[in-house]
Amino acid sequence: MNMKVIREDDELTHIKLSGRVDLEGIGDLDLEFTRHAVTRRKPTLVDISDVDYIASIGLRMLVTAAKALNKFGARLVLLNPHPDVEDVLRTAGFDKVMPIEHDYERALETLKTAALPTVKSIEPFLRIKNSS
Amino acid sequence: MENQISDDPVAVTENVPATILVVDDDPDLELLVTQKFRRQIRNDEFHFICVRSGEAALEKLRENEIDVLLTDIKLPGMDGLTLISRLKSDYPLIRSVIISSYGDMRTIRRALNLGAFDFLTKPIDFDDLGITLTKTIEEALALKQAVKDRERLAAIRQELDIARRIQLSMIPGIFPAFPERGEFEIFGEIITARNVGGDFYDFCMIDDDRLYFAIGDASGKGVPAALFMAVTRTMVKADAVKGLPPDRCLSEANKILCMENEFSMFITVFTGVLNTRTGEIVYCNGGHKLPFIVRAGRGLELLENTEGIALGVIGGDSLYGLGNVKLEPGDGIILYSDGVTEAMDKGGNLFTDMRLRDLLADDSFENPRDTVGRILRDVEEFSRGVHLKDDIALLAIRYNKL
Repeated sequence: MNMKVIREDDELTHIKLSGRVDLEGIGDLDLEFTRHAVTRRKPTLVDISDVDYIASIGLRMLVTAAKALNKFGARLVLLNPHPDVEDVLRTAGFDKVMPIEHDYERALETLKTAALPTVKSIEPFLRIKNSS
Repeated sequence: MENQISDDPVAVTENVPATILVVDDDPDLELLVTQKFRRQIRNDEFHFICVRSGEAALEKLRENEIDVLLTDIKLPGMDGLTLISRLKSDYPLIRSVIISSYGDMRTIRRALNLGAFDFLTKPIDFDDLGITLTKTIEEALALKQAVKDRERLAAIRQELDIARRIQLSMIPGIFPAFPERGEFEIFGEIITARNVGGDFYDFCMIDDDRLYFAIGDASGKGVPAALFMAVTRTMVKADAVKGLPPDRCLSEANKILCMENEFSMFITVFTGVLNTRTGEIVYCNGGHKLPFIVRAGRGLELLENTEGIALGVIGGDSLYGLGNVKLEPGDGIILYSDGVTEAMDKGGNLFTDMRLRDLLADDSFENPRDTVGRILRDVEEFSRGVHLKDDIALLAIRYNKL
């Protein structure tokens, strides 16, 4: 897996992932990803057009970031997944937590609409924060 | 995981001095050694035990935990070479250093062949002795540590093996499962990539004509996935046997998993109930791969998805919906985990949904056991020579009606 930060400013975090997002591929990059995506608390666009395989550990990395961002009212939107990857994401129902878009402008629109997390949906994350 | 292992009391290493047994009939060596290394002795780094003969050395070896033996070759009674060969057979973890006359290469060679770790020549150069001892102690301690680690590893392996058996005992594995019932046949198989795995299937009769069945896949692998799977499987089943509909079963389990999920794990679960009188199935999908319906002589259908998301991701009400499908006599349903379709070949290519679909399209589905066996054989052939990366679960039901 490779990670490239394309844009980081007051409005947006834009990250591009590529390669295989599985256990071997992720290595230490999940911390790096979380650092960029979550700690900035900005709407986050994750371009996964060059991700050719995503394993459950990769889904977990994305979902964890999306849930954490939701807590701050920011969204995480996935851009341009390969059909196989999109199938995995939609089958698991993860598009409910991270909207999937195929157009950059549309993705930006989606990012502008604030996330509306139910109180329950952020509960697990709050527990992490409190216990650490 | 790592915390758990280092909590193991066996892993605690104490700071004890290295014990060196010195064997020489010349009392000067004892004096020199204790003077030369007085700092190390004071700092509890070295502890010397000095004796004058091989016989006395054997006695000390029996009584004390020795790390390194330093011995002269020429001794009254038993000589140094005999002592070293005794060491090799009786105390294989102790490293030895011999002291020999300068230039007596034959004796030195014999000592090394008998298992001595190093040698020194007389007159003894004490700087060299210091370096040699330090090096030999390091070697002896590393060896002891390696043995300890191996024992710990064996203990962990044994525990994992027990965990594996417990896990497998949770998954119904005796087939035919309902020999007295002719209206349906069911067969399942689990293959774990490690000792324990995160995939499961499950089934049982809720009452006379309702068969509960489920398949699931916890994120990750090994022990964490297995624990998460075990908790989920039990919660879902507990509600199912009470007669709760599949969507409620998943919804309730999901709420609890979301409450207590500090590691952001998740698990996909598909669960359904087959009415064995009518062939009707009600089901709910929590983010799992959708099962195939095999229509007798009419091809393959992918089941329609329901509202749902993998369990443990977000809590809340009305996240899960219900679906219905009716099996006609001769039809069947095949549930599988992505370990099947994401099995890899040597070139890193995936098995794919398409290959599974093609395989099933050619299958007469006369009995579930054969069909599951055929899929597994094809996966095995496909991924020959590649270590299994993910767990595989398969569950197949054929509806016969009577």
